[in-house]
Amino acid sequence: MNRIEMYASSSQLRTGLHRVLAVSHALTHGLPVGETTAWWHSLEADEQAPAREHTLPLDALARVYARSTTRASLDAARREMAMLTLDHDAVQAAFRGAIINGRAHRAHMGRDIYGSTNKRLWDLTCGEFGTKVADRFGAGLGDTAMRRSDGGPSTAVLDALRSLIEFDTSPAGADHEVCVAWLSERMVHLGFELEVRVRDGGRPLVIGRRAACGLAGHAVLYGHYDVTAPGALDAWTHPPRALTIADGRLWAGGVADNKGPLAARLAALAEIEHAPALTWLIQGEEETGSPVAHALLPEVMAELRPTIWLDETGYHDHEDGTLRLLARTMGASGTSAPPDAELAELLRALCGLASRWGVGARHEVRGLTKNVVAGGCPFNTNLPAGARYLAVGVNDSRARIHAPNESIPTWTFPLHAAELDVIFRWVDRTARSLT
Amino acid sequence: MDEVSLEQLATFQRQGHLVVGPLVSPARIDALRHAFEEQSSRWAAEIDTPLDEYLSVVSQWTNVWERNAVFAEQLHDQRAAAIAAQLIGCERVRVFHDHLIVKPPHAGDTIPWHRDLPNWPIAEPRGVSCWLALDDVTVESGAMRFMPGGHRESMTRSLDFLNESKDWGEREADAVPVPVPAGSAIFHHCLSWHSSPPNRTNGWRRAYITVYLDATCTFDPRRGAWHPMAGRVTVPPGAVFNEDAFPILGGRDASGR
Repeated sequence: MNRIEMYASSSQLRTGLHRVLAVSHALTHGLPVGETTAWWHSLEADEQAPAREHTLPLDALARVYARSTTRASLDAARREMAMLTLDHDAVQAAFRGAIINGRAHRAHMGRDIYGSTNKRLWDLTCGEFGTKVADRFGAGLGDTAMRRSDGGPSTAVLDALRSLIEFDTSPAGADHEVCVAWLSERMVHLGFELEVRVRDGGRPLVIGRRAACGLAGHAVLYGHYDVTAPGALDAWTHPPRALTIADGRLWAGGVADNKGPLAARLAALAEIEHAPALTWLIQGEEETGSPVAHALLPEVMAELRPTIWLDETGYHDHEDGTLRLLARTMGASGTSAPPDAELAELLRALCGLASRWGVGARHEVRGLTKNVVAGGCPFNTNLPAGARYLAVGVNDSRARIHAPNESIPTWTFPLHAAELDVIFRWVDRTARSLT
Repeated sequence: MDEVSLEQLATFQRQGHLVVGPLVSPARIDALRHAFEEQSSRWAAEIDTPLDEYLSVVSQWTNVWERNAVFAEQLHDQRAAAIAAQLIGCERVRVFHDHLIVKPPHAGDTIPWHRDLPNWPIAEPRGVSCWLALDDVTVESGAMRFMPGGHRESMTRSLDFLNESKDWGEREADAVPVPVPAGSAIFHHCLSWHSSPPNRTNGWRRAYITVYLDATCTFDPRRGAWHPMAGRVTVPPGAVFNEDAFPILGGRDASGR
């Protein structure tokens, strides 16, 4: 909701002012490889924590907006959005009016009527800018901010994840076929046409193809429905074959690798209205060497020319939530090269999105580490030269993949849904610019 | 003795608003203006802001009567309370709140079309506002506009003044501006549709408004939860309002009893 309402104008204004700072910084600053980037890093030490939580008071925000570095960032972002630069004197005057108004309300329930002073500041700084950002990058960047403590997986995600977890798709498990049937039903409901391929008695490879829903371009998603065996049950605090929600995390065998990310994307695709053409490759032998996928994916992937290849998940640092953006443009012979200009723009947008959840971002030129199984990941090893690769998702560095007490955080689910929306809009923009 | 004639009552029932003038004497208007000047200086000082800057925007202050004796005296004006009771058709009236609304010279803000009751946590549509002009109010200085008869139309939701207004279409031509001299009052029904344009003059447009309710009106928390008075209600839903914050002011006999 990119507007300010009379019933909540003060809090909405403050949120909007933080949003503009976060998004402007992300869109106009690079992401140096390996460095954590966050817009609040440039603030004074005592401003950083409230900035991250979107709780800087209005007088502190006025000081931030008055700084030359902030003015330059705001103006650069507005130029990027094909807008006129700000009249910074008018912005400071509007801040002054809104600050007086807040004081008067608190002191004696008076002055400005119905939030019109707040609206003046909003119109100058947030309104049109937010609309243009939302049009280009998605509502996640132009809409109301969320904090890490806000929200979590929807009921739909949890229901889907409970079902997935209960299927025993470990190497010796008996539920691979029924899991594929369940997945197929869900994907067909989402509009995918399915091809389920089997080979030499291996686990089925699911290939889902969905036509574009209002956006140009093509995205390929990868995932897997098999999990490792849980090992000794007494090593688990929570049962591995049932979903447990505790301590802000989801606990179960395979919840991070890869059933949680699968459920997150299934639910997100049900909610996202506009998407490019999608191909979703979901295999069932990732943990046992991927014989079927190694045999079939070279041919399948060779026929694809998507705008982006999305790996099965991605990670956040568990200490402070920093988003790891594993992104690269594939070089010859499977080497990783830095992102091209288009992919770099997507990374900036994702950095801006993360900052709205109060987390920084760090770019690394590599793929997910998957060399634990001989032959590696058939998705990664078959990426063609020039492919734009990205790994983002709901996991964090406490996930304990392939170990007892595997878990993922809950706060990343709404962020990942917003990430997919940003990615899909970028796919559309990039595909159109290339045609 | 009734304060308004049967003809005036019929006008109010037909239009939803009624001009009564003069309601108060020039001396009282002078006293109220002076009280506003003193009170606004105190408010500006309270937040360490120059008075001219403090008063530079269209503003309102609620529950002024609790802070200022001159406005308290006006709030308890028995003639105004008797008129309100007669227009509502009740025996006694209580105050919901008062407020001062001030448009400084050349203040550009428009108050969009709205009704009051959808913003109030009150169950029954049995309230009137007494809009007392402290200055001569002209069309140019931001006279209130009304849509005659709109109060008889069905209940509507609250409108967000920052984003919404009522689109009357061709019916907009039926809207009437109601300029009034200082000392006169516009009594309007709580469901009347009203708005006001900017003040385009060099003068002030100040008004002191008392919101009267039938004393038997009851608390309905399903709407107006954000209203500043909602937090001062201490009775359960469906009960008449608490006397401490919403005192009975008078009624159709002079004692108000």
